Amino acid sequence: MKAIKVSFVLLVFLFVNLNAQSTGKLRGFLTDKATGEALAFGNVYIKEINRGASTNTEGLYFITSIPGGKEYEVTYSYMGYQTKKIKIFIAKNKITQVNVALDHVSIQLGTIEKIGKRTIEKNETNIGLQRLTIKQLEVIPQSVETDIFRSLQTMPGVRFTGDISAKYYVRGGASNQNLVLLNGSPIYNPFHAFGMFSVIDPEIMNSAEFYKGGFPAQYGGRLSSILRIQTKDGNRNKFGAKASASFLTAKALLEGPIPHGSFIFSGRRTYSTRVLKKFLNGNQPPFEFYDLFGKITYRNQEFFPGAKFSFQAFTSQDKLLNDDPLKEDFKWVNNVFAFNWFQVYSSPLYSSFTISSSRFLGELIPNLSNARPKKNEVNDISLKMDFTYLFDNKNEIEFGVQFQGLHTILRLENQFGINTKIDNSGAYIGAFVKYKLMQFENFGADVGTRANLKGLMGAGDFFIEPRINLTYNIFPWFKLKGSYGVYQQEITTVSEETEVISLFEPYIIIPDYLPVSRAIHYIAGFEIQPLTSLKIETEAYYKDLKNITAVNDNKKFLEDKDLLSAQGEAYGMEISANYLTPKVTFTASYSLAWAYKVVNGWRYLPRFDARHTINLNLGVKLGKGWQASAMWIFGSGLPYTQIIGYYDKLALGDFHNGRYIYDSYMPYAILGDKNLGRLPNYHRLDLSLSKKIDLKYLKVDLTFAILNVYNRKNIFYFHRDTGEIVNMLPFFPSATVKVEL
Amino acid sequence: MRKLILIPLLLLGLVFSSCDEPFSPKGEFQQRFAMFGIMRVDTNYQVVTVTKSYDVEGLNPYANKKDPFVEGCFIRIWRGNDEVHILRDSTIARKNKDRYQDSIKFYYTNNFTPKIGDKITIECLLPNGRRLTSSTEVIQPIEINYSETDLIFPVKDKDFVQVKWRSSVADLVYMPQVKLYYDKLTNGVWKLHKVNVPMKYLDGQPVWPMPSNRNYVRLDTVAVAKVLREISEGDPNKSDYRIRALIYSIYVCDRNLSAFYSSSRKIGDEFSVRVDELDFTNVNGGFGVFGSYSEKRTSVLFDEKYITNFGYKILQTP
Repeated sequence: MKAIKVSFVLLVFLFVNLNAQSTGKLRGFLTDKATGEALAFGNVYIKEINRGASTNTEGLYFITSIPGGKEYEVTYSYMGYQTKKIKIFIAKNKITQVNVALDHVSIQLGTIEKIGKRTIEKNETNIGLQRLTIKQLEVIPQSVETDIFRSLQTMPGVRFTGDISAKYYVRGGASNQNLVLLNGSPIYNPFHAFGMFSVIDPEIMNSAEFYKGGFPAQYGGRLSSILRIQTKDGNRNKFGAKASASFLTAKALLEGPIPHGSFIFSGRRTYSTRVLKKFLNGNQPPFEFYDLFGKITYRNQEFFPGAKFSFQAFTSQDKLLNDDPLKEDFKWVNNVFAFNWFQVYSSPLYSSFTISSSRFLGELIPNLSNARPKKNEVNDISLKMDFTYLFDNKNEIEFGVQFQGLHTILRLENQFGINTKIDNSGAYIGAFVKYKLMQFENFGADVGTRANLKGLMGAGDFFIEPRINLTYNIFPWFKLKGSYGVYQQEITTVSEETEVISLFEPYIIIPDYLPVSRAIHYIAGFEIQPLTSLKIETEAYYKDLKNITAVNDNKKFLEDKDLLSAQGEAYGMEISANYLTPKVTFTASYSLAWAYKVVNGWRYLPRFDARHTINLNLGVKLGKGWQASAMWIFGSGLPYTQIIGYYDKLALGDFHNGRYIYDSYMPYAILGDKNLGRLPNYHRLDLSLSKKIDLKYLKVDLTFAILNVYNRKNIFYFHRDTGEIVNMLPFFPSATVKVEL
Repeated sequence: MRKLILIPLLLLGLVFSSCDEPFSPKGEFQQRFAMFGIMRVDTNYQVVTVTKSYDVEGLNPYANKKDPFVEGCFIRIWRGNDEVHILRDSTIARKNKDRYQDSIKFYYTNNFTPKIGDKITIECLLPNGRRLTSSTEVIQPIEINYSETDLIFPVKDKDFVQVKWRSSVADLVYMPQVKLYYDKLTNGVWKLHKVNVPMKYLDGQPVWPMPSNRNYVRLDTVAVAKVLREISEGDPNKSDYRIRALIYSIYVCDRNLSAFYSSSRKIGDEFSVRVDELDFTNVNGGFGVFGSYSEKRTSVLFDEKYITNFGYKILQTP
């Protein structure tokens, strides 16, 4: 009822609008001159009227209510590109379209352009949002592979439980509460090799938006975070190729123009897994993986003015095939196909229509081993249509509909030998509307709501998810931010918290005997920018998690339920400082966080609860293509369950030998209350040095990195039966070479 | 320049000095008790053990050399609501003295034969006044599924022989064992011999049937033939051997024992790593298990022509 009231207030608020004046509008696409790729989150600024806009992920910018009949000098800027100033005549009551291509700054200069003036986005509601580009990822020292998920782990509010895993936990939420979207299509199990790397090759990435909370109404289906990755379209001007190799994989990328469009194809494959011994405590699994991505983009302004059509196909496969029939085999596959139609209309309206199919198959085949069989299939067909309309007063309205058909099948045997088959399918129908209030210079609001008309679950009936994000500039250098939102999730994973390394997290629609999982986010913060090159941000949050699912560890018999309904809460604060100059980038962040979970009335700290986290990241451009970076991470020790003694446990083996009851006993560790102990603090220093060599027809990028420079023995876990401690990544040098034609 | 040289030296120093912090995964010791009792339907002699938890210096539990057996317990077993049996303590000689030197201590009754369907309850009153209780129901033996079971070996057009069964309860653990029964003429007298038969051989190594929830057992034809050959290996008098049958002995655990066995198995697969996994127990107030199992036997006979090819005789009596 409370949610409906809030939604009503929001809807009333939506229709606050002002009449248009005799003004003009400016719009267009900001692209890379060499490749034609969209430059997402770039800045367009008209100094004379102190107005501007940021480009969206398509590179589209839109500035409304520009006093018409006049010529303006418009500044287009983007980090790493030469700023361009263009004189543009803005006609009255018309949309002036200007597409601008920016030149990449030569790496030999060792300088980068300043990003656009901050005034452009001073009332933008961007709470909880982090934006990433491939260039930012490359600054972070990487283990073996540049990886977007691992890069997320360096952000305040994002935690991980081990160096081995790229799995991440956002503001006290479980990893299954994070949604990963590749060009708008969900990927259910976006990991290679036990969760060590993401399946998304960063080379195909154009931009990424990562919401740590408070995500606006166009996003739904998860409780904690959204990672939206937009891929490149491919070089529209010339054919190009890239090849690179690390200790683990070799990869290649081809791109180029086609009539009225472009294409991009990329592939990555393991060629050696020796390096993974470092990650797996000396174990070298015989697994292999690959991922393939292809995208074709078509724009024909004669036949389809303002339209862009793209078709993408993505597949990733991991296989672990043992020659020995006494050992188990694994395979897991992601297949995503999507078609997108992006349309800019003659009015200040644009839309996006996406139809996608995402399939995950994960299987553990025990052969003659003791392993327990598991099989998970997820089939998702989604259809989304979003419209964005820009009013003359700079306000925007965005609305859309979404249909999702989902079928999940899970077969597994639990630790007590009980077999489970969960076969669920459901159809989701939802709509959203949000209003972006941008008309006031110092105040911005993003208010909206999702209406879940029909849920995936039987219990998922009509439900409203109101969302509000507010920004208020008290001073030009001081911005207050706040957010409130209700979120719903109807799918979950059946992976036990006890598993610190897992092969895959099987996804299922939450069974009907459980209520729908919901969360409420409350976020407040401020942003200070005392210098153009320095920004300090602080956010405090409280996340109330209702009816989240927990695996029933105590399922002993067939009639026991597989999942339980649990409650949770997480709260904390994050502070980060970003110092950005053409030669030096420095980021420092600190997080103070608490997370709790309540299962069967027992309140405990989940394994990813880390009280204090510090990240320091320094990148220096040394000139002549040299770049050095350093990263230091500190995290409070994670919770673990202590051993409180041992008992002699009957080892059932040969029942046919009746003597076992007397002398077949093995010591077994008794665990205390869950997660009451704390591992020692985690810290690690990583360094990297890279050199870009720009030859006539060739660009070569050499990177050398050392992880865990001072060989800190960070504890990953200990064996219950022997007490043997297993540490995380030791001192680890790695190198990559990338060649671009 | 000198300062620049110092940087890599400093880094190398850091690498070799490493950075380690003392850590023990142990918390404060807390006393717990465990009781194990597995009721056998084929005997009137039932055994129960009761032990207490212990702690050791360091992390090697095998360092504990003091037998954790709890003496002075008062243990009773009920069949239904009326018939009660009191267990007495006793000892037997210990074969393996790596850890504990004294004789093995246990509680027993020699006057209790469980029957199929019996509801059995146990109560153990510990010397400190605490109680451990549990109960079980003796499970029905399995039923052979003859429509999917091969009765004669070898099986035409198949390279294996299968025995399949069914049970009224799902997810139970079965423990099949297959023996080849044969007679050998020794000093003019036929003497019965038994030899275990593996499911198959992999790289020359036998793969034995293991407890699992698979409701069938398959033996490779090649494996059976190998066992048949081996029983007379080196003996030229093949006619001194008389082959009876393959005898299958299939134990089925009750639900408690099945769950206990499954939870005791090693980790689910070779690479997943689990921490703080729950320990199955159906003993209230402590650890351990109280359960029962029953047995079913069946046989697969041999084709006479097949056996005579080995030079053996056949006795179609299991």
